[in-house]
Amino acid sequence: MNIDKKTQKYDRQLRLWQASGQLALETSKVCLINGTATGCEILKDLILPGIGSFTVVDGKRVDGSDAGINFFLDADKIGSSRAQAVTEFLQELNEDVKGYHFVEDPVVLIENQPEYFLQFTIVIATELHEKFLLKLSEVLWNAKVPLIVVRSIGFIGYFRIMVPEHTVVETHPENVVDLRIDTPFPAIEKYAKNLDFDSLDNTDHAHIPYVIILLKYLDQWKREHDGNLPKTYSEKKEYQSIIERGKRTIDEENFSEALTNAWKACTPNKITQDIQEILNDPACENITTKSSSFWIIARAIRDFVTNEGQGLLPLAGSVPDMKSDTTGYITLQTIYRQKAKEDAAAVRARVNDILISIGRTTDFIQDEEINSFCKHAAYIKVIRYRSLQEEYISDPKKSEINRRIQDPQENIIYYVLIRAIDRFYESHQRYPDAATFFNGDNSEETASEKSTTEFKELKINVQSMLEEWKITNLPEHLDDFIHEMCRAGGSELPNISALMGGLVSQEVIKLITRQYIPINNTIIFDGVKSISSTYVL
Amino acid sequence: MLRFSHINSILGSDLYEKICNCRVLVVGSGGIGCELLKNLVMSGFKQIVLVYLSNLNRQFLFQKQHIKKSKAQVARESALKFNPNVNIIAHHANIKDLKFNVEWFKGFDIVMNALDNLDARRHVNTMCLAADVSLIESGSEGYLGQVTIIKKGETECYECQPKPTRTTYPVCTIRSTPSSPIHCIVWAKSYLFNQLFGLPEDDDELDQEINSENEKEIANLKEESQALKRVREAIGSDDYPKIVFKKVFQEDINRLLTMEDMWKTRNTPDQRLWSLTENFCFFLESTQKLSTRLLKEKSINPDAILQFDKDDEDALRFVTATSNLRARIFGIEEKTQFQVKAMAGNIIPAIATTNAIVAGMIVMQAFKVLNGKINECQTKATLRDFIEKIVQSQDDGGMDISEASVEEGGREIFENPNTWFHVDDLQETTSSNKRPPISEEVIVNDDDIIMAGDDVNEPIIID
Repeated sequence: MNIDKKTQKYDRQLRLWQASGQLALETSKVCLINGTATGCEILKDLILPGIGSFTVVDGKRVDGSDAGINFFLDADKIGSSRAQAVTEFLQELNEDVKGYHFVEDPVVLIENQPEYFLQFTIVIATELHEKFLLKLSEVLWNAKVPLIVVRSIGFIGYFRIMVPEHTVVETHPENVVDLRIDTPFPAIEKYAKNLDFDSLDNTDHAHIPYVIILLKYLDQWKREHDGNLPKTYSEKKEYQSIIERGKRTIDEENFSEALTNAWKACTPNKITQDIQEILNDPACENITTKSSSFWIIARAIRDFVTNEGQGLLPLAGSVPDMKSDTTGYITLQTIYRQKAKEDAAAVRARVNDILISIGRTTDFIQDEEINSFCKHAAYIKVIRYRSLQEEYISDPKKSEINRRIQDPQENIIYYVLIRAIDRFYESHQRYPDAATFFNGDNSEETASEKSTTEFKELKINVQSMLEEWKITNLPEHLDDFIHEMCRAGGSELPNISALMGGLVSQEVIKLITRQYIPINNTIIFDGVKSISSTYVL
Repeated sequence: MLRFSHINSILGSDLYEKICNCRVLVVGSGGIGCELLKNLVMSGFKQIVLVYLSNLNRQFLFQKQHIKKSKAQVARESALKFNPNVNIIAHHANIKDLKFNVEWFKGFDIVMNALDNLDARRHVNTMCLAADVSLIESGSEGYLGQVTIIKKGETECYECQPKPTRTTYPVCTIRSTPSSPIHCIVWAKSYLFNQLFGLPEDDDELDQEINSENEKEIANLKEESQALKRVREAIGSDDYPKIVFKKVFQEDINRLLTMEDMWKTRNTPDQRLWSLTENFCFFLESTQKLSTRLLKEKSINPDAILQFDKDDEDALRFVTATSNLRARIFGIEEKTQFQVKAMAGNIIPAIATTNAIVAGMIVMQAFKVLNGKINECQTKATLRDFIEKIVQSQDDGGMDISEASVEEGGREIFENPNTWFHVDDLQETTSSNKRPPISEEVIVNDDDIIMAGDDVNEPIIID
């Protein structure tokens, strides 16, 4: 397919993540463990935007309930390989995406040949339980391959993202404007100084860009106040009234814009704490041959800040729309762009020094990457996820769970239930299933003896889970929650599957494209109340 | 039915029965519509009527073999494959057609909007209010989306929140003194294209903007339009592109140059004649092609005109080439065809993931409507951008969770504002002036240009 056709086909999404994001998607290899309804919905939402390839690993054969809840299966497929059947249907969605299937029980694969999964860009695990999940997550964690664990049981959806480190440059902040009014760089300072407002006629005066107005009067203020910015409320008010007095007529829009932005202009430009933390990170301090380009550039920026940057990040260089004539605006744009270019060049030089010092060639990092980094320097993001090993074994979030478990607005109870169901599954090789015993009647009286047994068993699992975490504050209606899980019988609800498909695939796209900020680290959605919660578990 | 036994037991037999008996109308079958139809069929809905009007094929229910078939029919066939026991009636028609009257709307229990334009949304809103039928309204834009329940006497309706007004440009800016790429694109698309191939502009529009300062210029512009109408008479001749080029890029520009006042604070247009750039070649080629097409259509229907369509390669090339040529003259930044497409075509980027979430939410909301719980839940769910929203409170041990939702206006807010959907929050917006359900603007990346359509009836494409 040629470039033009591709641009046309993916027209809409390219506007969100640009060609660079699309390229990352198109070279990605996604693995789905188990061809469940939710898993297939996730893949559908990744195949449509055009991932490189997908592989479904599943040893099961299609049964009636699969066909009933999975759009990508039909009754003809009952008895055939689920991996193969869903791959065939999914493949039809996009001819540019390669679909593979591997007919093998994922559990066996994890046990005997876990390195199989290291070939993928990202792994999505559905219907995989504690023991094998832990094993898989450890293997992927060590290889830094992201893993997303997804569960969909009745009205409840759950997913958890894990990867040791995820860095994002293009976080897509809404507003990257950085005008440096408080600390003007020489070129803009000079331009503002040399523009004599008094000599302008009324038309030109009404077209001075507000940035210049702010600079001019702030310069005047600073000269009269030992170089200090307006600090107190009354000083800022006074600065505003100086601007106000500069107006020739009441309706000079550029002056109104200046007044609106005056307050912000007096706020000293500082590096935020989040960014400072990234710059102070050990990964930034200790650059080695193993350092990623993100950390190498971050280090260069840190050195830039302490040297030629004079305490400030490289300039982003963009100028917002404002009242101005064309010439004035273009001049202003050129000044800011020029400064941004100079800053980026300085960072480039520092990146080169670092690369040489660790024995790499300078083409290891392209100009484009540095320019983008400089432009987004104030908005970069580093997420370090907790591992599943920490969550399950070495450091469970006991006190947090305890604190929130009784709150009816929280979904943490479902986390406990999902973990308990996993244990149930591990001892019985099936889900607690009371669904068929209710026969469509919701009243508890008709529940058979069997369903009562299932309930009791699951309750034992829940209680042992809670004891393990030393949780004594039992939530109200705990039995009802347990009943609800039994009733679902581990079954997926198509509509929740579809919703989870959208949510998970969106995060997968963020992880693959390294654009936008993915969630950290668990989402639990309750379809009964329509409440979703995010937890760092 | 056995295949629905699990759904039956999870949803409960009361709700399941209501689902089976529910008569649903789905209006539109773009990205959200396809997802929605799939979800409805999968969830056990059995009586679905689909009304759709378009020939775009970007959705997952549609494959190569379906191109040129009616979209509504294809969607119906694809969904029936999954469950042949569903009764789906598909109308390939405009929902504003008189046959879809209030009585007809009364025949449904729930109406679901998966529309791409303001005009049709307003119409369906009105019809549902008149027929007193519950409406579930939806939309998506990039990573954002919204789902709203509208029920007469119980919730806000679609018109209760003001819609964003569209940016309009003074006629003199477009025709005489452009200063940004969008001015050139609007000129190429809305003025030049229509003068040459479409419905020529009426002088009345110019009169509406007349004031003491621009009186003289407006008179000139009227003359210019008349001259261009005469140029149009040469359509079909080999010289047509040449005549057009000479007129709009030479004579008109020269005239503007003589108007010193106007240029006092502006860049002087470049007076050189341009080299044979790609822009020029595409201008020649597209002008010829469009002329040929118009003449061909005129031979069938004498009143035929062409309308700008961003998916029409020739029309888009014409607008890209002419707006760039104009931008070059005025020293304005030129734009790529890709950028022009967004700016001229009012593109709102829709992606599969968000559509899937929105469609899932619609059916969740439908369950609530069927259970008669509108008053107990929040009626509007919005997917908000995450960046400003995610507040990590890692200091207190790492839980990333927002404050529990508040009670507002007696409605229980059904989401935890910080946590969803962006992952993107679904958020209570009923009593605030947050993002309105549908935005008419397009924000173009680099320079934060916000633009809007030039006609209320023009569909905003969300597919």
